[in-house]
Amino acid sequence: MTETNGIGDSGYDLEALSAYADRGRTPAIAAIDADPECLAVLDSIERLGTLTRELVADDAERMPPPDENWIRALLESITREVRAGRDIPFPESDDTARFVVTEGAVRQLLREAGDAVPGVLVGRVGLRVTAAPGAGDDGSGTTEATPALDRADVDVRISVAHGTPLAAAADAVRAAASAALLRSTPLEPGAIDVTIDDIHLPDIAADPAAEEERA
Amino acid sequence: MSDPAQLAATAARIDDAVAAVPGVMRLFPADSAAQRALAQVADRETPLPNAAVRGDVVELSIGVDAVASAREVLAAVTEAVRAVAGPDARVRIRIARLAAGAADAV
Repeated sequence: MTETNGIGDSGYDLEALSAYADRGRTPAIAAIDADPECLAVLDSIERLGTLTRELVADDAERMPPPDENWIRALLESITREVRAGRDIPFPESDDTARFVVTEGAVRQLLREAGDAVPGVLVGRVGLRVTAAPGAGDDGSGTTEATPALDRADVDVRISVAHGTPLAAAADAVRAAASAALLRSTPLEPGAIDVTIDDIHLPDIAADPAAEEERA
Repeated sequence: MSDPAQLAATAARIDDAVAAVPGVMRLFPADSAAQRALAQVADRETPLPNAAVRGDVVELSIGVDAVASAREVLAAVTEAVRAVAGPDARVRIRIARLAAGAADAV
């Protein structure tokens, strides 16, 4: 998919950002460095490089080279996720101070929280924000409402390194996502679904021991 | 306060105050159009401020790291803005970037 309008307000597309990351972000491009969506993509590109190296580190010589299509699809998914989307208000806002966080910032927070779990690489983050039941209405029939938090239902798809305990990895991602939401957003964690849709395996054919174990 | 140079100076002081708040990773331009307008009257050597000041309203777009809770950062930023712009300043803060790092990994 071609990014005709670039990422954020920068005018630069994914290819340009990848090249910029490869050059170590030099020479500095102000339009990229001042754009939060571009920075989120750049951080993800650099984190992706580190994490994919870690995922295959134990089997580096036996692993096939990284699938460029897979990496490309992942980066395009990240590019979609970082779009600011709607502003989510903090309930502490009033006439003198209004605080909001963008949906894109929350999605990237969830991605980074998952990626920080050892052996895990987040493939996709889905976020659905719904008004908390009773928000703006305490049931008393008065207009004095108890502030209620909107609810975040999260769907995280992850890859894990071969040998990583799957249930523990999913639990850790779920816990990290919940903690991040509570600490950094006005959202109450709802359902946090974690799907493991890929396991990075060593090249079985090149490893007789692994083949024997598999049999 | 409507003089562009004075607005820019106030915005720059707000930038400095906000950037010093623990938990603020960085500031982003709050209003790109306003920043472009300022660029026409500002000294080219001077960095353009990220805060947007309109009358008693101060708008900010910030990135927040994993060190503190976002609510604590927002409260501290509001205090920092009002220390510069006055206690009656109305503050609008948008968190455009949140970083988790390893803080949430268990």
